[in-house]
Order: sequence, then C-alpha cells, then structure tokens
Amino acid sequence: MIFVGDGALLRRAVAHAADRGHPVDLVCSADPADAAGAGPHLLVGADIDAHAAALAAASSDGIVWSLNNRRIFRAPVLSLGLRLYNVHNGLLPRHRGLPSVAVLHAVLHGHPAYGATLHEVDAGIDTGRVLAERRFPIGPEDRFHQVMLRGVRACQQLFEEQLPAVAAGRAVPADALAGRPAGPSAYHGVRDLGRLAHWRDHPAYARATDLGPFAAHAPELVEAIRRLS
Amino acid sequence: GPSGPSALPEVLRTALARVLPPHLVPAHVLVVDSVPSTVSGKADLDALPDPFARSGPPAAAVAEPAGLEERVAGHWAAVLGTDPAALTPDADFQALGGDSLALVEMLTAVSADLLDPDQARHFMAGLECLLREVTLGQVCARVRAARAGAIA
Repeated sequence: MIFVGDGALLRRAVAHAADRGHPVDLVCSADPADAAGAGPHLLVGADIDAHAAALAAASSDGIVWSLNNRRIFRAPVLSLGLRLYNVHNGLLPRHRGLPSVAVLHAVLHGHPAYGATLHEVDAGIDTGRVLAERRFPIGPEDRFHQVMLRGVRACQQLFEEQLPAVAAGRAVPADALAGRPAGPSAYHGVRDLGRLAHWRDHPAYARATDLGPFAAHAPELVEAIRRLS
Repeated sequence: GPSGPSALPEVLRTALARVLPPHLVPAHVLVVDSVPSTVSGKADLDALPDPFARSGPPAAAVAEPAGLEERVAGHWAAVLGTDPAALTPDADFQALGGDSLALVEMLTAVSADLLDPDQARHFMAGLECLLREVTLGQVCARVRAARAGAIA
C-alpha cells in the first residue's frame, strides 16, 4: 500500500501497517523520516498528481492511504484505477476541508459532535463515499485544542481499526451511518477565517480559538486570531 | 529564537534548568540595566529591586504543588511508555521517541494537571521556540513560570 500525507499521524500509520505485515510500497510526504524505515520514500510537495506514474509503478496491492494530507488528488492519480482512502479529521459531510477551521467552526457554533471519517477519494474534496467513522460528543466547555486532539486520536484509531478490512477489500459503505447524518454539507477553508471578526463577541469565541499546543501546527489560525486580538 | 530583554528571564531560566537541579533554578528573574553601587563603588545588593515585590497573584496561589517534577515526569512516562524514574531534567522528549503528536499529548496532560486555563494559555503561547529541543527541565521551568504569571 501507498501512503500520502504528513506528520506523526502518517508516520504512525506507516509503522502500524508495516508492523501488521502489510506491504509499504511507497510513502509520499515532505519529510523522508515519515517512511519510518518501513519502505521507500518519495519527496512530494503540494502536487501529488505530478507523481502519478511513480504511484502506479510502486503499487503492489492497488491501495492508497491519505492521512493528514492537504494535497488534492486529481485526474492523473484518480484515473490510475487505484483504490484511494482518506482518513479525514472531521465528520462528513459537515466538516469538510481543513480540520483546523472545521474544529473552530464546530466549537464556535455548538456542534453536538465531532470525529474522524474514513471515506473513498473522488474528484471532490472530502466528498467520496463514507466507509466508517468514529464520533465523539463536543461538551459545552470543550476548547479547540481538546476537540482537535480527540479528532487526531480518532483518526489514528479509525485507521488501525479499518486497516484489515481495507487491505482485504472488505470495506464497504457503512449502512449504520445512514441513520445519523452529520448535518448539512459544509466546506471549511482558510477563506472562512476572513469572517472570524463577526464572531469575536460570541460567548464561545475564547474556547473556539484556544489552540493550545496546536498553535504550532495551525499557522493560518494563529495569524487570523492574532489580527483580531 | 527569543530575543530582546523581555525574553531574557525565560532564556536564563531555561538554560539554568538544563544544568541545575530544579530546586536551584530561580523562580523569578528580574532584568536591570546595571547593578547599583554604593558610594564606595561596591555592589549595593540592597538597592536591587525585590524580585518578589510584584503585582500579580498572591504567593499562595502560585505555591508550587508537591512533586511538580515527578508529576511532569509521570506525564512524560505515560506518553512515551518509559520508566518515570529514569527521566532526568535533561531528558530529551524527541530523543526518547516522542513525535509531534506525542508532544501535543504530553503538553496537554501537563497543562490540564498543573495549570488553570489562563495559565495554560500562557504556557502554550510562544512554546514554538522550545519545540525543537524539549527537555524535562525546560517543561518544568515553563510550568513554574506560567503558574507565577511570569510568561508575558
């Protein structure tokens, strides 16, 4: 299997898959250490499509995992006939887009729940069929960094839990999820941050912008919040 | 990295925490332009400002909890899966196998255990400058500074 993404979440997934005896055909990220010594690494910036041929050549089982990945798969990769799976930090379709902005939005607007979602990758952003999710409630006092940390943990758990089924080709759209939709579809991007000023006096603003240790990982939020302080 | 006089107390405390046992690291560092001298030219220590005469929370509120080092070390051990007794002040989080997510887990656990939300915000603000090389002594010094309200 091929892995595309960045950071600790990607690295842990690679190490876990290798530990369970799955082939690590290629790890595509901005840091060679992400391969965790489990397989070959390909240095990939923002454009994954330019490396479509390398992905096709490396794949032994047709599976591509996307974890903590901001790169967008387009036709050059999507047309290879590979099975692409994204582990998204957020519930779908309500928390599409950047997890940092989605969490801020969820806390600010009192969403009852957050979580992680495993879905197939299609031509849209976080729009493919949902295969599984891990969901947790957002409490009335919860702060940004607490929800974000639980979301990241849920991503790791979801990957480890679903890896055997995906590897065996048994992962299918989850019927159980049909009964509890995650709300209306919404995309959360950097552009949303331009409207942050409207919410400055909102009672949940302090909680929704308390980034905690994630400040080091969300420069776009740090900058937007600083502008308003 | 941090620069300017406002960062100096923290830089000093961080550096001292690397080489001194935790109880010898000064709780407060005050920067003065020059050491005052007596008429005979000797250092006039009595003329130095009192580092404890500062506005802020009363002493009781910033009193150090029992075994602060042990509690921080306990959180490190839980996240890293190591023996807390083996952790010395110069223990390096990354060298012990802590990745960026483990670091977030550790900092979250430490601040939830030892800091109120306001202190936690000060604790986290500006942490980026320490993220490359995180030692147990540094984290303890930062917890102390946050409890004392000494992190601007």
